Amino acid sequence: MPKNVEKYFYDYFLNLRYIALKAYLLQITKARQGKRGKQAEEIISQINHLLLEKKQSWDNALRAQQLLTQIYNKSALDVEFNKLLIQTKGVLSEQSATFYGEAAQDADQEKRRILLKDLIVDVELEKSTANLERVFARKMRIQTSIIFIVSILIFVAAITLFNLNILGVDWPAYEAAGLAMAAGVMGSAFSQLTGLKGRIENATLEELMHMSNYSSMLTRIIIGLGAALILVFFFQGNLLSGTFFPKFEFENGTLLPLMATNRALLLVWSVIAGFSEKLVPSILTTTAESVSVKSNENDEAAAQVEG
Amino acid sequence: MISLKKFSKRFSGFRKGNVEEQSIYILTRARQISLQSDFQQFTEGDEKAVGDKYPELIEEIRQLGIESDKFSSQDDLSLIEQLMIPLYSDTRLDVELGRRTVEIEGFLSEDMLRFYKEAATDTDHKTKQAILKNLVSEIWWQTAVFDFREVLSTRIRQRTGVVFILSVLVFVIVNFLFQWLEGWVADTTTYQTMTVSMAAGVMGSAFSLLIGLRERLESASLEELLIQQRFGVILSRISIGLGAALILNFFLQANLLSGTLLPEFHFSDGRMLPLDSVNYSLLIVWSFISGFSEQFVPNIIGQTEEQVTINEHPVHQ
Repeated sequence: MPKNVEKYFYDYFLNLRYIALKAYLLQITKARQGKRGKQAEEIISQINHLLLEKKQSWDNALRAQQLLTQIYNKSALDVEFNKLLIQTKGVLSEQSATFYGEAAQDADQEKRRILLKDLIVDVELEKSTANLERVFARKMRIQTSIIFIVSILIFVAAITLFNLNILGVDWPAYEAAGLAMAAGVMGSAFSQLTGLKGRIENATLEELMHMSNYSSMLTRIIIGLGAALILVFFFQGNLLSGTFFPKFEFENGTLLPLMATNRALLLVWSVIAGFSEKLVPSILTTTAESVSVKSNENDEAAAQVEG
Repeated sequence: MISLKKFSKRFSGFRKGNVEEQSIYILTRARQISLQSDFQQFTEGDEKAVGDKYPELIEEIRQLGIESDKFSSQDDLSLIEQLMIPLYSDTRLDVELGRRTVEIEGFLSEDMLRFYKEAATDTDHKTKQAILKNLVSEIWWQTAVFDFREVLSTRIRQRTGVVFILSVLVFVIVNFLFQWLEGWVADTTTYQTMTVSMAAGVMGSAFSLLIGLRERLESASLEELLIQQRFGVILSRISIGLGAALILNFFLQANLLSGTLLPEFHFSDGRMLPLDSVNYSLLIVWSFISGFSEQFVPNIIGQTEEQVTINEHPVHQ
């Protein structure tokens, strides 16, 4: 197998495009009866130069293809135009496809030549855009995977750090916050990884360019880190109710070390906080809404109860 | 008639060795001989009058080596096929159009095939020529696409297979490693369950890739195959399996899941006790499942998240 099979095939496809164009050119120059006008001769010489003298490239093939539209006979023009219209289904935007479809009904040959030329360029543009999108999507996949694997390493390192008590100090509060943040980072990286396919499919080229930046990925990671940290304080403040929440116990105002199940629960909820971008913001909003300012009436009622 | 599939073996020379190369030579040679016989008709045979009307075209085809006994290149044959079209009579055009449309069936989209079939019934001679020209060039193009797909599919199969075998090896090594470590390090249970889960998750996701391979290869377009063959895509799916299994591990430790045959974790003085064989196997099975099914852990996370309610009056400790 050749070392670079992809390049081999891309070159072969380019070669096929050149052969198809050369065949058109030779059919026009060698098989068409009657005398050609000066303008047609000029175009043929330009195409000859592009196809036979210049280096083979997709750009030159595109230029030659556009020039050929000016010398196609009526039948070739119709066939090329209708064929390209079908090929572009799903490639062009709906509006563009409708525009060309309606314009194709026009009987004026000169107008159809111009339209075909434009259609060729539009299709090339769309194909180039799709190629670029693939490049950025690939970059995103690799970067997201790397970030996720690094987050797992950080998580394992954090567990080891506190398990082996490498720092030599016994600070349960820091342990809880540290592990929660590491789990939050892992949760947000996992969320990015599992949602990757959907995000890539729905994104435009500009969005992909933006999303494939490390900084934009790290922003999401930082949100996960912060969300998990805030959640720890919600647990410590006993502000959440649910069957399976970690229970923090205090003695003389100091946090006691978390037992195994509680630690696992804390890790799970921190992963969830990182995974779901909306969990902590919605908890914050709900908590904020539950606050009401004390009024005098309330104070009097409270005084009566106490009395 | 030489079928498109047989003829497309052109590239398999570098895939399957010399026997294939020989058959490609024979098939291509057959096509060349068929074109030679056509050309003779226009230069010396019954249709010489037609050939005489297009002396420049005949000369161009001759220069491409049609009369030579040497093996013509694929490029030359493709060009000759397209250059012969203006020489064909109306009847010959009809025959060629019918033959080529059948040849390309199954390789084009339904719309495109319909377009060629309808256009082939056009009565205008010049339109028929233009259609045949497009069909011939389309057949060459689709043949190359078919070959490229074959090469990419083979590559994806090989890569997925290698990744799966590696994942099995990693799983076995991890198991051996912790059995060996037991004699040396005091408390490895936490790390053992985490690492074995991750290895089983990786194996599950690699297995999922392997199982779904056939369907994915059949339904994928050329562009999708180009994406799928990248190690990045395989790596991202494998990472999902790894992470899912690790997260599931903590769900199980926290006893957050209910269902039959889930592994049970036991703790003493805040430390995890070693798992017995049954629980160890159950952990491996569930980690494998979390890697195999991409949506399993995200669904669990979603369901757990829904359970949160805010305490309006927190109990102070």
